[in-house]
Amino acid sequence: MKKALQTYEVVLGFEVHVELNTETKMFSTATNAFGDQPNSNVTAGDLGLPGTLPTINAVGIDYGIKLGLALNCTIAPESRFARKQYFYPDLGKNYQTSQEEPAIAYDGWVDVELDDGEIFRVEIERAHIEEDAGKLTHIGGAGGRIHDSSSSLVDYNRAGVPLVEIVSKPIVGAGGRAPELARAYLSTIRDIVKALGVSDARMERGNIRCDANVSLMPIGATEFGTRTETKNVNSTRAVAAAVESEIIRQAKVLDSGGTITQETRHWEEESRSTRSGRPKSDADDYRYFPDPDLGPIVTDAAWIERLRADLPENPVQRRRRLREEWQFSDTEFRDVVAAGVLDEIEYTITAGASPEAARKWWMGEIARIANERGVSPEALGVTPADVVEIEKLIADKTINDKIARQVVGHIADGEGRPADIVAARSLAVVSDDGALTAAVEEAMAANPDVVERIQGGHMQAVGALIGPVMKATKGQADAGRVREIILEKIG
Amino acid sequence: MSLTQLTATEMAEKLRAGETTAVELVTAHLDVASEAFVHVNREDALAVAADVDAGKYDHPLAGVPVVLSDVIVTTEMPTAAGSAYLDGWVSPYEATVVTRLREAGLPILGKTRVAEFGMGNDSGAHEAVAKHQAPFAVVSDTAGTARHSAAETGVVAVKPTYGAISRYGLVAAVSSMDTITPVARTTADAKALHEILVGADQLDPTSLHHEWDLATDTGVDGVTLGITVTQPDNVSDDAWSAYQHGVRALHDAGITTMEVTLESLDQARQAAHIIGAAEFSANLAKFDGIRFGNRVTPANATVQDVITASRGAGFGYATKRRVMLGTQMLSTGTIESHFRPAQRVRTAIINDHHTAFETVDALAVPATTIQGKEYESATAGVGASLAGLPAASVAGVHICAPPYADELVYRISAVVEQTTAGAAS
Repeated sequence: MKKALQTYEVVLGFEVHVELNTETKMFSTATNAFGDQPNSNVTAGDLGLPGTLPTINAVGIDYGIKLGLALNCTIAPESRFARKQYFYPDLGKNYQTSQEEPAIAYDGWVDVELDDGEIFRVEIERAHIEEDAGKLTHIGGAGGRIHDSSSSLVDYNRAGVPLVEIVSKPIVGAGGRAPELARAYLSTIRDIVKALGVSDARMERGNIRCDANVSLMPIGATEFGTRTETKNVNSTRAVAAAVESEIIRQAKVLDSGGTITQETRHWEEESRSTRSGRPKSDADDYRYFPDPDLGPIVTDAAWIERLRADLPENPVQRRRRLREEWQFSDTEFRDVVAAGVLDEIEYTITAGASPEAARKWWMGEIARIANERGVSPEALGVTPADVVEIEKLIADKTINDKIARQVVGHIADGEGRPADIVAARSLAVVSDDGALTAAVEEAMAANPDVVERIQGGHMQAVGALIGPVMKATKGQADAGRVREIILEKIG
Repeated sequence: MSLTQLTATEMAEKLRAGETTAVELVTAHLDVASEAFVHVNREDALAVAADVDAGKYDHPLAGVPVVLSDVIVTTEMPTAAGSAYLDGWVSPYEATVVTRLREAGLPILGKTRVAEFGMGNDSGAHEAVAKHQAPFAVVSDTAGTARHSAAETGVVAVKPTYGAISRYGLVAAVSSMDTITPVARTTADAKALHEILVGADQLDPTSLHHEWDLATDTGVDGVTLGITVTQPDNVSDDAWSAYQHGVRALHDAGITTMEVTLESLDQARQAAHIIGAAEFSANLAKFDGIRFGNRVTPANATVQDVITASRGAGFGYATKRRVMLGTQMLSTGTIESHFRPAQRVRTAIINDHHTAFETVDALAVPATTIQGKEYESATAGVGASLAGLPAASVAGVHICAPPYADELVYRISAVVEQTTAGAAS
């Protein structure tokens, strides 16, 4: 890629489809759910039966506006739904209800943070609301492809699920950081929709799907080169790899005097390269026209401001603020973000723990057990309040660190809250001087030689008495207090 | 006098007076059902009638039979919308208007013949009403079709304000103009049917949320009407004479008239033709042989082959021509040269009517023109469809009024029909 960048400037563009997590579909009352029995979440309208009419999901509109606001877009005072027409069996009506001009949201931007903390601003052309298509399963062809298949099955459960399509403006100037920017852009969009709560944002389920446009132009040129569109790249890692692979491929073609074909391409994970799809021209004619069944979406300032007031803090800004407040090192903070426990640490601190303690638990024992059990840390069952309670138990010397770690495991096993577990399992540290003194006397009587050595000035020999005491109290003794008692006795 | 000679209102009165039964009414009509019907709903209609006779319904019109144009979907009867593509198809869901008729206890005699997807003037519903095979009918009016057929068969059709009656379950032809319309032999009967069907429906996003009051009947004294003074070229002498007759009756009833000409209407037919074909082409895309209707599968067919063959075999010539025209109208280039100008003409027509209604309460023009071929009926009829106005075709007069003024249309229509009392019998 380095070689390619000596000759060419990279131009990127992204179309990201975000599936909204509304209860029902965008234009019907069918349930919006993933993984149900095929064709179980379907109304007559989703199948395009004659005489059916769409209905507008008001929550979907709210979500579209929220997402537009989070992307710093202008919200259209009036926009319409349009019919985008093409024959394909995954669309019940053979047109997709979408938006033409204006989209509900347009002319925005989003700041994307690269690995070294540099901020790259990506301009947003538009974000419009539309409906998803159904899913085709091809039977009999190689690798589930339509080629050579004998028949195809259609599942219309996804048909009509609300989508927001976010279209970026062409992105120039990323150069060698184009793949990194692609990854950071997609994860920023994911963070934003997750923070807004408008999507489940699970990329492996296709909740967020990215089409990456790549073109090259000779350095110094002003006219963009011919672009390719790599469809449905569905992870942040894959989008970086697809962009890099496409830059290298296009540079090779151009270097050898060839021309780039304007086409859609498909990302193939196994070969880590893109494969040619269908040719695509700007003249693809979808015969858009305003949907006569659906009236205009008319927004007003009060509505928009109500939604704006509801917006969560921008994820990039939030991270900067938290890093500052918590005083973590860059490495520590990056690890926290990568581990996906930023929210948990924040809640834990809010609940009363110190940033250092919150980080220690979420990145330490909780993460370790979660990893062992193959779940994410926040799904382990340990709450921020539990962490605060454990810290308190340590601070008042009810338990020690070692037992605290055991308590975390017991919480994960569903045994209850920390104090209950400590009580039920009799895990409290023995700090009762009577019991400790008896154990110390016993240990001294059993080890007269050690006592002699301590009396002779060998203070480090104290450890040889603490061991038996801890053993006798099943590890629940406060080691510091044991030491003090020994020294008093021998004193 | 045979029961079928009565108006719907008279039938209802006789039922309430105990002078006839719903079963007798249904039987009398079923006995004369003709080729105007594509499906006779004998058992179901008689069952509903028996329930009415048993006192299970209290709507004033319960027991008075009705027919449905075959563009309205029903779960008990097939719906073909005049197309071989749908022949034999039974909808899994019911149109809102059918639900309202059932809830009021009106026995549905059957479904009537219709031009393919309702895009033409051939209407078994009008024929059945004119021939006393049903007192009234529920049909669709697209760009004037139902009003034009009414003028030709001598019955009354009153198209409500767009959105007054739910379109849910009406097989869509031209979504922005399709309007469920009552057809009857008298204005009073059309209005009675209208009152059963009208009202907001959450299943139709274009449905109007409005408190409708059609009950008042205070005559037309003091109403100002815009009229045509000079016989237009496309209006026959007979049609002109009928029109003038109607206007005179309105004068006699105390109406004030003044000449009104809406210039934008000159382009109404062309605009309706372009917009109509465009919407029609998109609405018919769902007829692809995949999920419903008659699939044709050629040997070694791809899905595209199935779509092509199913549409090819299922659609008639006029439908194919209109789909191709509409597809062209929305294509790059033509959308700018034809479709968008047609939309601008539509806006001008809406604005012209709005301006006219600042001066007059309603407009009346001759209901029939000699250009009435296919669905390109009377210019004023098309204008009312483009502007979504309530409009009636009665005794040679076409009446339209501002949106929501459906009640005024009925009042004017009632006066006009008195001039030709007995003409439709």
